[in-house]
Amino acid sequence: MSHLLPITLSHYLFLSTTLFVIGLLGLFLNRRHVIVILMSVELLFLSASMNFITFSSAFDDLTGQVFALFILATAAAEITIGLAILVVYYRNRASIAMQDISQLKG
Amino acid sequence: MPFPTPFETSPYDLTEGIAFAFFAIMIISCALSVILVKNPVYAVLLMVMSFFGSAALFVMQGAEFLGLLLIIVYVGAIAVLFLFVIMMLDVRLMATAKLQRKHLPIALLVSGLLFFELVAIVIVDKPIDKTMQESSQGITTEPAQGLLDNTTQLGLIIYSEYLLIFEIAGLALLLAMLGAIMLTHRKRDDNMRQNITLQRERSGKARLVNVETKGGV
Repeated sequence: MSHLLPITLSHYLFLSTTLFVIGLLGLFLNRRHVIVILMSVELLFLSASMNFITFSSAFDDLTGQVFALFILATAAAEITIGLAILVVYYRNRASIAMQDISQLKG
Repeated sequence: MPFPTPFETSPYDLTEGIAFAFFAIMIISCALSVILVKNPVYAVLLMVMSFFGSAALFVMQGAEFLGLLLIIVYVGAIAVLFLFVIMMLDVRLMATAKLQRKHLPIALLVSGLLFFELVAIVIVDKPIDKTMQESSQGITTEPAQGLLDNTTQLGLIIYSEYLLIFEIAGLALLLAMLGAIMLTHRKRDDNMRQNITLQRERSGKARLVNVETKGGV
C-alpha cells in the first residue's frame, strides 16, 4: 500500500494551479459584486503563497516561507485599502454593484 | 540557504494521501463556491473554509507557523473585516444581481490557457519531483529531533537575513492602516469634541490648575 499514492510536489502544484484558475475565473465572471472580486484576489494570493510554501518545503529552504509571510502582510494591506475604498464609494454613490461602477469613466 | 530546515526522511503512510485528498477537495470546492454563491456572507464563510484547508496543508508541509498565522490573520481579522463591510453595505442589492455571462468566453480562454500551461509545466518537468526526492524524499517531512522547530527558524531568519524586507512589510501595513483611516474618516459637525483652547478663552475665570492629591481645589 505504501507506494500507491505518494503525495509529491506535483500534487500541491496541481492544487495551487486549480486554485489560481478559480480565482481568475472569479475575477472575470463575477461582475456583480466588488466584494466577491476582492475575495477572488485573496484566493489568488493564497495560491501564490501555497506555491511558495510547497517549494520551500520541497527544497528545504525557509526563504519561501518568509516570502509567503510577506505575501500575507501584503494581502492584508491590500484588502484593508480595498474595503476602505469600497466603503467610501458606497457612501458617495449608495451602490457597489458592478454595473454602476462601470460608469466611472473619465 | 542560511538556515535550511532539518527534515528527516519519513516513510510514506496512507493517512497523508487521505488527508491531502480531503483538504484539497475542501479547498477547491469551497473556492468554487466562493465565486458561484449568491449571498456574499456565505462567500466569506466559504473563503474562510478554504483558508482553513490551506492552513492544514501548510501544517502538513512542515510550515506550522504560517498555517496557524493563516488561521489567525484570515479568520480572526480579514473575514471579520469582510463581514463588517458586507453588513454595513446593502446586502439585498447584491443578492438579486445575476452572474454575468458576457465575459464567459474570454474568461474560459484565459484561465484554460493558463491552467494547461501550468499543468504542462508540472507534467513535463518531472525532474522537479526527482530533485525534490533526492533532497528530502517526499514533501511531507518532519523536523529531526533536537533541532529547532519551524517557528524558531523562521524567527531567526526573519530578524537577521530578511530584516529590511520585514521592516518594509511593517511599514506597508502601517501605511495601509493610515490609508484606511484617512479614507473612511469623516468630520462630523454634531459630535461633541472638547476644545481646550476655546474653553479657556470663554471666560477669564477658567484656568488649568494642578490639583493636589487629597487636597481638593
